[in-house]
Amino acid sequence: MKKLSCGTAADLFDEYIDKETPPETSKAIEEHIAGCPACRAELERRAALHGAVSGALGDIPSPPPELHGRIMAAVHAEASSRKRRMASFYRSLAAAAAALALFVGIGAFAFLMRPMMTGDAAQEGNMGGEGGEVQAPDADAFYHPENNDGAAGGAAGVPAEDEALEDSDAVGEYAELFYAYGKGYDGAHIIAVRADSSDDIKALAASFGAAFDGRGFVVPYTEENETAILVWGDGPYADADKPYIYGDADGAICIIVYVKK
Amino acid sequence: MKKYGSLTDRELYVLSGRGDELAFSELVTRYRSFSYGVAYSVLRSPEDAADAVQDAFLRLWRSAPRHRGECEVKSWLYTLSKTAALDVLRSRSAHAALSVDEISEAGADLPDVSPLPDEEAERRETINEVRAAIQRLPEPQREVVVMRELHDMSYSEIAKALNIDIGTVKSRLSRARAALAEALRRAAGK
Repeated sequence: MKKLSCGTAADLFDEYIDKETPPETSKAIEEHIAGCPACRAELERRAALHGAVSGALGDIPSPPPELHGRIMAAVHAEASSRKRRMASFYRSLAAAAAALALFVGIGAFAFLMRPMMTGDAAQEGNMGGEGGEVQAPDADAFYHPENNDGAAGGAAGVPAEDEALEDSDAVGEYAELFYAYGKGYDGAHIIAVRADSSDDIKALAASFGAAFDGRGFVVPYTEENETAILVWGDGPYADADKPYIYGDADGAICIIVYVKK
Repeated sequence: MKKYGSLTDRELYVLSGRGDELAFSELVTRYRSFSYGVAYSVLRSPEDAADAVQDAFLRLWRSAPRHRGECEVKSWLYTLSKTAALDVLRSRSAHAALSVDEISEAGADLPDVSPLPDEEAERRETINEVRAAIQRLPEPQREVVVMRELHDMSYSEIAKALNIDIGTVKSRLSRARAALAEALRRAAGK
């Protein structure tokens, strides 16, 4: 930085005293006052004013030592209340979603049976025929990872030809819930979060008060013996029998929390 | 796993938004004195200041889930602490009838210092002169002086807390200091 004039240096004195000047500017000021007694005196006068103002405003006493604990006790009470409200919300959501999942399941089943109904088989009365009983599809068959990529595999996947249905996040979420119910869980909730690294997952575990063991972490719910189990899987649907996290190219991850009473 | 102490304020606040009480506890450790200073400078009562600080941190905790990573925690906490302190001030029965402007004035009020003999008396007189000069500053200038000199906030933190640009912070400080210097010169010439 080039040498400062007296006027330029004086304009920067307050910022210099406030430690707001960049290092190279601070150095230039120090070099200037080293060779300029008048500016050095002006700087000292300004520093004295800063000190006088600071002194006049007085000292702030230290906060009482118990304040930290008092704040955290209030925060903990607030957090516990929030968790209870969320648990209650999720139970309501699961109940509503279960009803809708059943509705969607029956609808999908009817859709899949349409060829049979319009074909010879339907004419022969195989659909809703002798037994007269429509059964919900097997949960595994209804929504399984291999069935959700548009491939025709599987007896009863989300219909590949119905792109709107296939692309619907809502259908995916309800189907996920249906799958969870089929596996004997009492519900599932999908939480979309972002994570850039496993450290974020560890931090997430810590945020639930849980310890990350290298694969996943368990989140204990304390209300009404309900336990939410969250396990970090190895990849998309790596183990369909267990809850998992999967991600996309942007680093967004989706956590499937299965809830079992 | 990172230690909480090594995380930035923003990282801690994001974790707090996910319900991480330990992360929030670290923020309390870092800023309880700061928040207490802001509240105490308004209330001048240790008990009331502690109440205001607790309220301010609760507000900080509640707002954490909505945090999008764009705010400076210290600046945000300044606003919350001052608001909480003014709420306490309003709730005091003795101040129940004060208007908002009067509360603002009361908040910036500084305790008087009784004169004493000799050098101590002279020093205290100077302090009182400076305090009187600070009181005479326009509120926007006085506020940035208090934030800078009492609460040790950086220009950037002040700018974010007041939602003004750094240039405005500098100009207000500069005008305030020029006025204070002039007041002190006049006082010395008496």
